[in-house]
Amino acid sequence: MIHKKSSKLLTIFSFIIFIFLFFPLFLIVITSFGKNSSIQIPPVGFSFKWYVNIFHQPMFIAGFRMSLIIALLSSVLALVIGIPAVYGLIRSKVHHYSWFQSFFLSPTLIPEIVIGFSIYQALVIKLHIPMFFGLLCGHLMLGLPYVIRLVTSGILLLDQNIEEAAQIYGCSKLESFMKIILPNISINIIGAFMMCFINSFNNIPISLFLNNSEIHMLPTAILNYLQNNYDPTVSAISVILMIFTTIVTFIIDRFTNIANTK
Amino acid sequence: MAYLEIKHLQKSYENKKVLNDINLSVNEGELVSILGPSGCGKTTTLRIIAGLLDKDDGEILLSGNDLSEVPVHKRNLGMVFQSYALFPHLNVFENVAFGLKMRHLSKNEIQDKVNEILDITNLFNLKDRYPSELSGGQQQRVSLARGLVIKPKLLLMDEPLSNLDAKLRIQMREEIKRLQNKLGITTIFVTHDQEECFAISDHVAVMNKGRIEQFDIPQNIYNHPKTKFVADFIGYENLFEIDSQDTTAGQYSIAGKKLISDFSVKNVRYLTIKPDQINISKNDDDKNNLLSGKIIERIYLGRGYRYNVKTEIGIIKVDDQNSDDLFNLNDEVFLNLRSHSLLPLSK
Repeated sequence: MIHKKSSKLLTIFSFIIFIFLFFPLFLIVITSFGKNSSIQIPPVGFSFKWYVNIFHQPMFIAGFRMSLIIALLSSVLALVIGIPAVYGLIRSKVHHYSWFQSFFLSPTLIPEIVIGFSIYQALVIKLHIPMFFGLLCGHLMLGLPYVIRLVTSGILLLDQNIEEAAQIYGCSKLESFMKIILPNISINIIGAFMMCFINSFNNIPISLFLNNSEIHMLPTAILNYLQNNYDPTVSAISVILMIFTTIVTFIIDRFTNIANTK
Repeated sequence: MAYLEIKHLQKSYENKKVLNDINLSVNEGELVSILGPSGCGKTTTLRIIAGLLDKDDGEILLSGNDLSEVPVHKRNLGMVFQSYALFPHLNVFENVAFGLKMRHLSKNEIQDKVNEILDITNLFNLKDRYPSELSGGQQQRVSLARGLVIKPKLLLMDEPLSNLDAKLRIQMREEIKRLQNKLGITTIFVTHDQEECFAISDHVAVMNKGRIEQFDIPQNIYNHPKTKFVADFIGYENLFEIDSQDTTAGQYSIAGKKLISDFSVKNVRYLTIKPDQINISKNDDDKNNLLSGKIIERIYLGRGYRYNVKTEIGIIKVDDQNSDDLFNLNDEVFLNLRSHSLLPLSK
C-alpha cells in the first residue's frame, strides 16, 4: 500500500517538475507566432513573419555562423589537447596527479566573466592577438574541463591490460592508443564534444567581452537585438535554436547508441 | 642449448630486490609453470619475458637470440591475462583476428586461421558476440584462442584461471593442456595453485622471494621437495628441526627422539612429512618411528578428519581418511611416521 501511495506521489511530483521546466518554453513557442510587434500572452493572430524577419537581420546570420565556427573549432581543439593530456597524466603516473587534475579543471572554478575579461585584457589589448583567436581561446577554456573529466573517467574504466595485450599482438604504443584506447572511449569523447559544443554555443559571459563589429556570437547578437527591440523575433530565433539543439542532441544520441551496442 | 634460456635475471623496485638471479631453461614444446605465493616475483618474471617490464640485469635468449633489444610488439609472443584483457569494442572473431591483422595477412588467410582456431576452442558459435556478452570461462577461451592463432614463439599465461570458479578451472586447465599439446606451443604458465600446476606442467619452477627454490618435474617436486619453503608450499605441514644425524643409518635425532628415514642425505636441517602419510592408531604394533601423543584438536575435512596430536617432539598434524574409526579429543594415540614418507630437507 505504501509503495502504491509513494509511486502516485512521485507521478504528481514529476508532472509538476515537467510543467516547471517546459511551460516557459511552451510560452516562447506560442508567442513566436503572434502578429503584434510586441511579445504578448496570449498572442493575437497567427503569422510566420517573425521567422522571416530573422533572415533579414544580418547580425543573426553572421552571429549564427560565427557561433557555429567557434563552437566546432573550440570543441575539436579541446578534444585534441585534452585527450592526450589525460592519457599522459594517467599513464605516466606523475607525482601529485590530483594537482594536475585540479589545474586542468580550474577553469570551471573561475567565473566565466573573469575568464572573458582577462583574455580580453591580456590577449587582445596587451598582446594584440586577433579577436577571433581570443574568442577561440576563451571557448577552449570553457570546454577543456569537460573533456578532462569525461575522458578521465572513460580511461580509468578500461582494463589496463588491454593496451598491453595490443602491444603483445603487434601494436606499437601509438597504434595501441589509436586502435584500442580511442574506440573504447568513443562514448566519452562524443559526450565531451557535445558538452563543449553546447556550452560554447550558449555562452554569453565570455563572448560579451570578445566581440567587435565584425566578430560577434549569436547569443550576444540576440542580447543586442533585445536591447533595442522587444518583438517576437527573439521568440522565433529561440524556437529555431531549440529545434537546432534537439536535432544535434538526437544525432549524437544515435551515434552513442550505436557505439553502446558494440 | 634450450629453446628459452633465462640467465641471471635481476630486477629491483626502489632498492627492493624482486628478482634475484633467476635461471630457467625451457625446451621447445614444453609447458613450464612458475609456482609461488603472491609477491614472489613470478608475474614480474613473465612480464620481463614479454617485454612489458625492463630487466636490470641478465639475459633472455629465445632460440639463441637475445630478446633484450626487441620491443614488445616485435617479440612475436602470445599472452593470456588474468583479467582476460579482451578488446571490448571488437567481437570474438575480431579479437582473435587482431594479431593476424597486425601481421598484415590477407583476408582469406585470416578467415581460415581464425575459423580453425575458433573451431578447436569451441567458440565458433560465439564468434559474433562481444566480450561483455560472454561468461568468464568463454572470455578466457577467447583470450587463449587469440594467443594460439598467431602460433607464437612463446605463450605466456599469467594466472589465467584464478578468476574462474572451481569446476570451470579444472575444465579449462585440461583444455589448455590439450591445446598446448596439440599445437606444440612452448608455454610459460604462472600460478599460485599447486594442484593446477601439477596437472598441466612438464616442469615446475617453485619461486619464493625472487628466487627459484626448485626446478623439476611435478612428480619430483611433489615427492621430493628440496627446501623447507617448497615442502611447506605443497602441503608438507609437519616440519621438525634436526639436532643430530647418523648419515649411514638414515637416522635423525629430533628433540632426543630417533627417527629413521629411507632417505639418507648429508647436512640436513629438517625432516618433513605430509599429514596424510602418518598412520594413527590406538596400538603400538609398529617398532620404528613410533610416537605417542594426545589428540588436542579434531577437524572434519569431508574426506576424513584432521587430528592435531601433541607428542614429545611437538604438535603433529595427521589426516585420517578412515572416518568410521573415530578418535576423540584427549584420546591417547600412537603415530607411525612412515620412513619412506619422511623427507630430509637441507635448508
